[in-house]
Amino acid sequence: MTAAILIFLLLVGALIQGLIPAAAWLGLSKPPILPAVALYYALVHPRGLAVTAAILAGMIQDTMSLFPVGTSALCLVVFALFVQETRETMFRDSVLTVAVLGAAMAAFTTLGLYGMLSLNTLSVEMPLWWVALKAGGNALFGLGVAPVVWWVADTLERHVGLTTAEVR
Amino acid sequence: MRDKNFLFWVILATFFLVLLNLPPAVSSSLREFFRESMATYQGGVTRLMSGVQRTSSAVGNITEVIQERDRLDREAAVLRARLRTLEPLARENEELRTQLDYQKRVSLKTVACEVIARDDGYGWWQTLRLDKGRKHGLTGNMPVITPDGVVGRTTEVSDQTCDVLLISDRSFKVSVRFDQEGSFGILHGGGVSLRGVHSTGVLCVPGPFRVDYLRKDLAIQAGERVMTSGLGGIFPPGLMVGRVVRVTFDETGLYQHGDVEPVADLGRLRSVLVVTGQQSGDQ
Repeated sequence: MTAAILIFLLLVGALIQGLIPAAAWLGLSKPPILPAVALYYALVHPRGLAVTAAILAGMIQDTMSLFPVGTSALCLVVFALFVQETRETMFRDSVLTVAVLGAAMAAFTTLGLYGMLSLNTLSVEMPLWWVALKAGGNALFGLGVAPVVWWVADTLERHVGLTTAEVR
Repeated sequence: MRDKNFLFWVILATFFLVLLNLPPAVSSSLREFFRESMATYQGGVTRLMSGVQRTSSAVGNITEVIQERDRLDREAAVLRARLRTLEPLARENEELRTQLDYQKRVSLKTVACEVIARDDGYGWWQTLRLDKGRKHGLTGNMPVITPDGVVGRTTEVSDQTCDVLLISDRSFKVSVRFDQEGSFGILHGGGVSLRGVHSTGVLCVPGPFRVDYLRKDLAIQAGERVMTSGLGGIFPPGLMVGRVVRVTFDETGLYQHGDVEPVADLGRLRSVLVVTGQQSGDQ
């Protein structure tokens, strides 16, 4: 059931993320729904499942764009593992924690992707101020989206009997 | 416990080393698998949203819709009348062509496609996803156009879908020719304008395209048409790209830059034509 919920969240997340138009005035930023799904699993679930969720979310995001497969996955896994290692030191059930981590994850992913693209032959030809604007915009969206995704995922898992206490 | 932890990191590092260095064939099969899985849902959701948007817009602007219908009726009547006067001219044209033995004219073979998703999932590139792919004869690097002008070129193609890099993307480059002046240049996309109307119905408001390093003695005027030159091997010559909006000298004064306004409405694309080849025929 855990796998079914993960796949459902990733599929719906990818559809919504693809459908919502990018905000041009924020450097073509988009609500980072797939990273928010990865964040939920990093905060709530064991390490194996958190890494799997981050890899799948990243790979779906890569196949939606022109990124080489694995680029987003690497960024998401690095952040997910950081959250896994430090989550016991945070108030992880607090909306504020989820929102701040959502913003941090979105900004980290954006800058990480830009860094990896700079190392790659595939160029996006964006000025640096545009990348900074994009990272800020994504962080702003992450701030709002992560708590919503967290609430949806948590509610779904509770409905099918996977309470938060059981899956930790 | 420590051994188990070490093993986890080794497996993860190996996985990413392999994933990021996959051979192109394996990597593209993986991409195709995900794209094909998503395409059905993307197409369905896009069509649903488009239907909802059209219906709500029609209900909200019923007076405008009626006025628009009346205007189109009048326009159709004028066009029908004009067509009747043109028919004899068309016949005469055909007769003269036959007499001059001047029939061979190249036309484009195209495949009509519907847009099922717009822009990449994270807003890095300006792309479209179309509902046709390899099974319909599409491959990478094919020109994508509308009746107005050039839209972009195909990039990745799977059996049922195909991605298009829009001409407005900063990484897009195409060789162009200025219609009156006859000079050539490389045009590249100008990205997205931060100003302008952005909504769910509009993909983007593209910034003006740019043609750099034009000779300073060229007398390029605002309003001049910019067409594909046919150089570069992807776009056939003569496809409309845009119109010059302004020409400026660069800082050194050695070259000119031309800003070009696109003719195709890139923000509201619902369907496009992919040019799969050229055909010759008697016209």
